[in-house]
Amino acid sequence: METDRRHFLRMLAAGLLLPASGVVARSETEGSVTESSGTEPRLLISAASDRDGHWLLVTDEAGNTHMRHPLPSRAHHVELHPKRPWVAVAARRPGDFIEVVDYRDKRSIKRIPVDDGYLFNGHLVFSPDGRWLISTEERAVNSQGQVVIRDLEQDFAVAERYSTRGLGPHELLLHRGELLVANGGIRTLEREKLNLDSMQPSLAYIDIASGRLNEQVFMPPEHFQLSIRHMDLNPDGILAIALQYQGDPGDSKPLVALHRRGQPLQLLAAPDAINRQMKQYCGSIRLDASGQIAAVSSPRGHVITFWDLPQARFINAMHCRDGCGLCATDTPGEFLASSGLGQLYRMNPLVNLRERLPLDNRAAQLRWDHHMKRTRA
Amino acid sequence: MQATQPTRPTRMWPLWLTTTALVLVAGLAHAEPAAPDWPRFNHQVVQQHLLPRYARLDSSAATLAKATDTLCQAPSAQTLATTQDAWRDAMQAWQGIQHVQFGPVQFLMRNFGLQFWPDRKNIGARQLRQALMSEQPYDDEFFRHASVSIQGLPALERLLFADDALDKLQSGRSCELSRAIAGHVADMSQAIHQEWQTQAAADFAADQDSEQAAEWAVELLASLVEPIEAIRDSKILAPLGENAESARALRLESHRSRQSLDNIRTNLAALTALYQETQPSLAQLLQQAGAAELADDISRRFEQINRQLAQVPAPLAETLTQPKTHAQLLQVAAELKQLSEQLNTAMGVLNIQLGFNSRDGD
Repeated sequence: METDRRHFLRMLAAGLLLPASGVVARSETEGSVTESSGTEPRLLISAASDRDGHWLLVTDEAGNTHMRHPLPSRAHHVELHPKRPWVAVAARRPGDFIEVVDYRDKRSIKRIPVDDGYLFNGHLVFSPDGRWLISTEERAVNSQGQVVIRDLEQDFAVAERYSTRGLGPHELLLHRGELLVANGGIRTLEREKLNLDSMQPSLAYIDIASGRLNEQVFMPPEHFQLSIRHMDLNPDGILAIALQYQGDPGDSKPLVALHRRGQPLQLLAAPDAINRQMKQYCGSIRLDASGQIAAVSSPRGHVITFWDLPQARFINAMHCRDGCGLCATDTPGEFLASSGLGQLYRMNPLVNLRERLPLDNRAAQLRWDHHMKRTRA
Repeated sequence: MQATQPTRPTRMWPLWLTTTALVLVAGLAHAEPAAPDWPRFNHQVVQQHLLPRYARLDSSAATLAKATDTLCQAPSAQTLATTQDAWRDAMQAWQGIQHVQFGPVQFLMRNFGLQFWPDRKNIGARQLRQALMSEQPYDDEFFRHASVSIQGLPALERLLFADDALDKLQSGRSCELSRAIAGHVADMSQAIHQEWQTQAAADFAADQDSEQAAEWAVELLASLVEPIEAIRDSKILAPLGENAESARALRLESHRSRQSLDNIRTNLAALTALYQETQPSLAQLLQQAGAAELADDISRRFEQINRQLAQVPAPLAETLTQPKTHAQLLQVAAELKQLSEQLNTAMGVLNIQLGFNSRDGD
């Protein structure tokens, strides 16, 4: 383990300092996304399900299905490799696989099984150099959170495991050598929640090279049942967070939070009637192209709310039946939203735009799952 | 096989045809009932249920605006009483179509504009005070920026049903604001009605696209299924509290005008109508799908709930803390839960999926 660790540190440092090598370098001769001229159609990628099974779905923005890759079970988050036309999809928690798929050649690159005693928690990222795949996991026995770093150069072998300093970690982000981890705070057995009376949700900032905890901020005690689950980071260092409430169904708790380094969490609630309509549950949060506006999906309330980050305020809400997957377009304020009923919308709170987008039959017959990604130009 | 027995496929052909035909016939005999005719259902529900109810909201809101004008021109116990009646009528019209939460009613957040409720933090009271103290005109610009909590019927209720309403309406800007809000409610109601007429002719035409129709059917059926839990949770269980002593009348909808129970009765009557009073109705679709027993059970459940609600003494603002009323409402809540489960079963029968991500927790 110590050897692995030194190896990881050396490689990580090399990745930050030297030109890309190995897997990454090969991509640059084979014609990768980074080399494309920008004329290729943007693709939308999401986990999806139907009666026949579970799929990794890739469509273009005109709604034409490009690929429907079978998955062994229901999946959750999808993430693009920064240099190659690869997408990694994580099984829905408690997950037992991560699959990396080449969406241009339409073939599986690797299906990574979960290690004994651990479970995948549905979210992952790649390092900016494309060398490392980093996922949230938990110990099956007690839900203790881990971030696990796998080396693409070593056939996705585990290079490092760090504690997330919390239970049931969910989404994670990687920013300037620091891992941001949402510790949901919930201990689970299968999908049963075991500790709703003693949850301690937190947000952990972890140094990727050492695993050192740089900062951890906890949900204040009066809101201890607000699970921190999904988040996105804006260029000015404002972390926008979508929450899920595990307390009394009659309560109307804030469901969005902002965080800046060194400060406490700032909780935001929509106007009461809308806050209630969100049904205590947010499924996804994404920032627009400008990084100033957040879209938050609440599939249980069939509503997507929009938030102004610099002003820390609610903008408005739009109806979207079972809407959950979100991604930004290149237009400020504009988002795409997908639904479990096989629908796709374009929405922009700044100009009160809400329009249905076409999907071909194959895409429209699928239940698009929680998270959606759009490829870069 | 073909290589070694070249003539075989030719000889097999008639047999294959016959077999296929037999399988097809057998298949037809055991076939599932045909999928519901959603274009026809949608068209009829919009024509027979939605449009008349939005028309009623439109006309009753217009009447309320006129009554408020008259009240402010000549404030008296008489004109106030007339305006209060008009408010009740408009509120019941809204309660009769409140279950529809898609389409023009959600554009520009009109649903919240018409009725911002529940308002546990009393935002409406604070916003109303501020608006009354401000000097800006109550024009379109005002409503573009005003909190949804003072755009609609609850704010008007505070102004019209206060104990000293007549005195207040004759001082300061109360009457001016009342007229403005009533006018705004009338404008929103008219816009919803007109836009629905347009949408009815387009998306809900008799010859609508059948694939689109299946999706619109989901919205229409969600308008039946989803409000039931909301009514139970917000309008009944939240004010009921743990027991009669801890019941909270202030949590009732429309408690100032003493319409809380009327609202619930109107809601259930409207949902009953949406379930079984259109041609074709959801009840008929269920029967055609071979679920006649379930269809009848749901009908009986609606009847039972409507009967129970008729027996609850009004106004709830006063009777809520009586143990007997408390017990009656708990019974209604339990029946609503059963009804909700039955309707969800019905959605399964008709192959209607109301949610996927919404049934998840991740």
